Amino acid sequence: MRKIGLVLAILVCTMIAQAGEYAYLVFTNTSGTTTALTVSNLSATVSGSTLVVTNDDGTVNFTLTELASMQFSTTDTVTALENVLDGDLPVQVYSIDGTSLGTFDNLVQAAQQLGAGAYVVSNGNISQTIVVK
Amino acid sequence: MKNGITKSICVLCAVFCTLSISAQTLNIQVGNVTYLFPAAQAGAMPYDNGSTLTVMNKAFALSEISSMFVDETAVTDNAVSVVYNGSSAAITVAGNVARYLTITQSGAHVSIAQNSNLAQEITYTLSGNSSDGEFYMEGSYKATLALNGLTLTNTTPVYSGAAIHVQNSKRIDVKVAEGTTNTLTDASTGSQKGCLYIKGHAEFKQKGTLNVTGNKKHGIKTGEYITVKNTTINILSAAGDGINCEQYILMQSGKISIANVADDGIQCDIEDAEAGSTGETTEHEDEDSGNMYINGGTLAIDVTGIACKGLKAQGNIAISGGDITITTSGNGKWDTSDLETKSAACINSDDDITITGGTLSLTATGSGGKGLKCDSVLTISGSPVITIATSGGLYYNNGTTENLDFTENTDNVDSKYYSSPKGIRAGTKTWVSGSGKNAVYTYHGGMTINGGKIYVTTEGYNGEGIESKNTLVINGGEITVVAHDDAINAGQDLTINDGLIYPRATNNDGIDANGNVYIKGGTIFAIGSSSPEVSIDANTEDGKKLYITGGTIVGIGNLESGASITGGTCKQASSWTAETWYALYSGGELVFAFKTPKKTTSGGGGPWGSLGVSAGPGGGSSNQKLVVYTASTPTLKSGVTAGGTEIFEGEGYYPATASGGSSVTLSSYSGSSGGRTRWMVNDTN
Repeated sequence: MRKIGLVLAILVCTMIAQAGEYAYLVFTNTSGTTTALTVSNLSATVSGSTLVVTNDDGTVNFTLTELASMQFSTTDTVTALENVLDGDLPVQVYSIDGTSLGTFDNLVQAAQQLGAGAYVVSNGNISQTIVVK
Repeated sequence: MKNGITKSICVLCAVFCTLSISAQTLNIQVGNVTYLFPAAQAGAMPYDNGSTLTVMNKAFALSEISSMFVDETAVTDNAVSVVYNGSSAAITVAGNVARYLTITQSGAHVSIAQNSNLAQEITYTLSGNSSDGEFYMEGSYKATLALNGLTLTNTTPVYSGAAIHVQNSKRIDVKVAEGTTNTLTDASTGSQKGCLYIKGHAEFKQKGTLNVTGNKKHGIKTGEYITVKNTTINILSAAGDGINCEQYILMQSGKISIANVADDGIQCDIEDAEAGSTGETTEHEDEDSGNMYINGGTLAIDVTGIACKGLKAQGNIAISGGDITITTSGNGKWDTSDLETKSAACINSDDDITITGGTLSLTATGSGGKGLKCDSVLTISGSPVITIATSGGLYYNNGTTENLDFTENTDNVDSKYYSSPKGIRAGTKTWVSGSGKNAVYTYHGGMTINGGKIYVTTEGYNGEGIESKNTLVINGGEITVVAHDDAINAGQDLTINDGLIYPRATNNDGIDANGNVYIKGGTIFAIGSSSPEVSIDANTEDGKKLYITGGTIVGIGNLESGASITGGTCKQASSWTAETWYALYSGGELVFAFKTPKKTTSGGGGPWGSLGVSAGPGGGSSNQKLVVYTASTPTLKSGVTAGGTEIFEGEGYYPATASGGSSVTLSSYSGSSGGRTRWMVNDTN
C-alpha cells in the first residue's frame, strides 16, 4: 500500500514538474521552418489571410496559407526525439485521442515504427506529445 | 492506519487528476463557445490551406474563430458547461470531446448534438439565469446533466418548447447540486411533452432543489424509467401530469412535491404496450413494467383535477418506506371512451399494490374519490402506518346526467354509472352473464393484510371502508375503519386469522362478505348500524355462512343469522350504554377493553370528527344488541377505568388493564334473522 502511495506521490511530483513546462507554442510553416513563441499572454486572431499572434514579446504575423501546424512545446523547437523522456527506456505510445498503440523498447524504436503524426508517449512517469515527421 | 493511507492515496489521485489537466490551455473561441485544449493533449495542430485549423481532431473554420489565447484554465475532460446570462449563454467545451459535438445557439437557446462516434460520457453543467432560453441536447451516448444553480425559462422556443430537452435514449444522470436551487419553466407553446423532457431514462441525484413548471404538458417527462435519490423535486404546476414516465419509477430518498397539476401527480406506464410488462426484473435490468417503487423519501402530492390520481401506475406499486401525503379533490367523470364513470384516487394501480413500510396519509375529498385502489392484489405487511379519509359523496353519471352526491339505492344500478367513495378497494368483479341472483361474475385479485396500522374513514354514500372485490384475508395489523357503508367488505370469502380490527359502519354492516366469513383469531370490535344491518354479515341468502372458530369478538349488532360458532362461547347483553368503557374477560382473564360508540336511532353519517369523544353520530343503533365471543366463558364489566396499549384511535386497549366498573348480565347468544346482502350489479367501481 505504501509503495502505491509513493508511486502516486512521485507521479504527482512529476506532473507538477511537467505542469507549466509548455512554455512555447511553436508554429511550423509549410517549408518546415519553425517559429517558437512564448505562451505568456499569448493570443491570436485571424485577420483576413493572416494569423496575428501577440504575446509578451510582441506581435508576429503568419500567412495562413503558409502555416502547416502549431504545437505546444517545452522547448523553443519541436524535434521529435529531443524530449524529456529517457531514450533508452521502454515507452507506451498513445494516439492523441488516447488509444493505446502499444509499448516500444525505446523512443527511437517507437519513432521508427510509427507513421507520421502526433502521439503521446509515456514511460509511466512522464508523458509527452511528440510529432513524427 | 490503512484507512489513512487509502485516504492519502485518494487525495493524491485527486491532485494528480487535477494537475494532469492544468497547465497551459489553448482557448479557441467561436462565438459564445470556448473550446479548451490542454497543452499536454493538444499535440500537433495542423492548418489546412489557410482555411481550417484542426485541434484534437476538431476542425475549425478559421473564419469562424473569434480569438485564440493561451492561459492556465483548468480543463476537466468530458466537461461542457453552459452559463446562461439573460439573452445569451456562454459555453465551454473540454477539448477531448470537442470533435464529437455540434453546437448551435440562438441567444440563450442552446443546442448541442453529440455525434455517434462519442464513447465518453459528457457532463453538461448548466447554471445562470435566462428568461428566454433553453437547453437542447441530442445524442446516442449516455450523459450527465449537472444543474448548478440554473433558472431557465423558455419563452420563445427555438429547438424545443422545453426548458431542457434531452433527445437521447440512454441513461441521463440529472445531478442537482447540493445547496443549489434550479428552476425550470417551459413555453406555453410548442409540442414538448414536458418542461424537463428526457427521451431516455433519468436518474436524479444529489441534494439540490429542482423546481419545475410545465406550461404545455407534463412537468417532467421521460421516455423511460426514473430514479430519485436525495434530490428535492418540486413540481410547481403542470398542464398535464406532475411527473410522467415509462418503464418504472424508483424513489429511494429525497423529496417530491407536486401541486397545481391538471392531471395526475405521478403516472408511470409500460413503454412497450404491445409486448406487455416484463414484470420486475433483477436490479430492474431492462425492466418495462409500469411499476412504481417507493423505498424512502418524502412524497407530497395534491391533485385537483377531475378523476385524477396522485400516483397512477399501469403496473404494480410497491411502497416499502417513505413519508407519503396525497390529497385529491377532483370529482368523478363520465369516460366517453370506456363508457363508464371514473373517479379520483390517491394511489391507483392497474395491477398490484404492496405496502410493507412507510407512512401514508391519503385524503380524497371529491365525489367518488378513493384512497387506495388496485385492480389486482393488495398486500399490506410489515409496519406501515396508513391513514385514509374520503369525504366525497357517491358519484353518478349515466353519460347525460351527473350527480355528485347520489343517494339512491344502487343495488340495481349498473356500476358503470356510479363511483363510490371508498377508502381502500382491491381486485375486480366482472359481470359475465345473467342478472340479479342469477348473475355470473368473474373475480380477480383480492386483498391480504398481514400487518401495519390502518385507519380508514369514509363519509359519502356507498362509502365502504375497506373492500376487496374478491377474497380478503386478514392475518395481522391494527385496522380501524369508520365507514358510511360496510366498514370491511369482501366480494367473496373473508377470512380473519389474526389482528386488531375495528370495523364501524354508520349505515351498513361492520363486516360483510358476499361469500363466507371465517373468523379464526384476532380481536374484533365490529359495529353495525341499525337493524337489519349487523356487526358481521355473510351471504346466507346465497348459502354462505359466518364461521367463528376463534378469536375475541365484540359485536354491536347481531351476527349473521345462522352463524356457525364453535371453539368458544358467544353471549349477548340485551342493553348497553353508549360512550362507556367496557372490559371483556375470557374465563376471568381480561382480553380487551373497549369504548362503545354513540347511539343513534337509525344509523347516521357525518359530520365526522376524530374518533373518541367527538366522534360523529352513527354506528350502533339503540336497537342493536351487544354480542361478545371469547375462547372461554365471557364476562363483561361496564363503566371501567381502562388502560393499557391504546388501539382503534383511542376506542380500545389491547393489552388492556381495567379497574372498577360493574358486571354486565350476559345471556346466551340467541342469534337473529338479521343480515342483508345486497345484490350488486357488476359493482366494479
